[in-house]
Amino acid sequence: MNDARIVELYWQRDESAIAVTQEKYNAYLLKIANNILNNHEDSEESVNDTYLAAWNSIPPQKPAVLSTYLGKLTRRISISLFRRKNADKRQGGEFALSFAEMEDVMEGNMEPEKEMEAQILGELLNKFLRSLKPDERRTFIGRYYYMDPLKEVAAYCGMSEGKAKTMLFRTRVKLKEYLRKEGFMI
Amino acid sequence: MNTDLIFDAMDYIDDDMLEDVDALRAKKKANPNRIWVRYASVAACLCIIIGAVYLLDRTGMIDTSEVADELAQENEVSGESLVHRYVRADIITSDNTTLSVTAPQKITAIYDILRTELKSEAAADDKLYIENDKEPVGEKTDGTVAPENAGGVIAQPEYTIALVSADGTKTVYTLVGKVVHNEATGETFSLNSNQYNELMEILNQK
Repeated sequence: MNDARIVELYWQRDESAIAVTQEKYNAYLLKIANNILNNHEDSEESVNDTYLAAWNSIPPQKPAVLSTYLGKLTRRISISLFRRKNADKRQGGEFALSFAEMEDVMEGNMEPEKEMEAQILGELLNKFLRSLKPDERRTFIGRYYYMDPLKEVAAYCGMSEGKAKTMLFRTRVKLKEYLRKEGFMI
Repeated sequence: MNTDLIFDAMDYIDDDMLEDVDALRAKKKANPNRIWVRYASVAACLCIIIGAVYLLDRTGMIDTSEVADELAQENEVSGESLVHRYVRADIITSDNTTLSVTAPQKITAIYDILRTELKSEAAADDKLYIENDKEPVGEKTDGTVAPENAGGVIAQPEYTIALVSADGTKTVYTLVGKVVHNEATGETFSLNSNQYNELMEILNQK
């Protein structure tokens, strides 16, 4: 069933929407969740919460590409779950690795006021990502948004793991400099 | 906390850029050439093996029932991914701190399994001996309370870990600090700091 038809089921409040969504996207969403949570049960919990969040948000939302919309929900829910379960501890898994790599970029004094700050930073990120070459953008998004293992990112970007690693490092350096120039970091 | 912010900010990455990467991820997963090559290779190998077995069986040189068993066993092992070999932990509830898992008996597997499989599997009534600020929070596995070492040194956490292999063989390891000791063979090895810290995080969450 195509996405438009599935979204229509949500709009009609037809409960089969969830079953259809699950059949089509469960494996895809589980991978996103597991990249962050590194735990099967927690990943399943996150994906189940995603279906509930989708049911509660469509309508009024009407996503054109359901996978991207659901993926964002799962990612957000999984990161929240990770934080709740781990407080100030970090455990194994791709999120932890991605987090450690990104710490170099975000040193500096900032007063986090969560949603507003994130949105402003998000807008800057979009501009930054669009300024990159396609390979640089894809490796960055693959590693830090989807949190795929480096090896996988390298494979689907069509490069060696070493090249991907170097590219990511340089992109992080560029991002740090960009944020500084934009005055985001003090 | 600052680093958390950038991961939250990624929620706002425009959909078209995400879809571009998602298409690559899907394409790599469903690459028909790779799938064809893999299945063609497996099919070719099986044809050769079956052909050879058939010919040899006809000449009476081999017992095909044995070959069938061997093939089944090979496929059972080679068909599994490395992760799935480390099957879900089965916890034995006891009055001590024994955690049991079905796994290959490899030293490196102990660390991997504990790290990836046991985190949420401990029985609720496990009693752990952990000495914290010189106040023991439970009894030792043999029912005694370990005294503080001479000189006021706080004893390190101690755990007994039993691993049961696929053939039912059980091996008991004692983990004292970073040192893992095989009680039967006397073999010992040390975890590095990262391995130790990760295991302690897992075990201390129980």
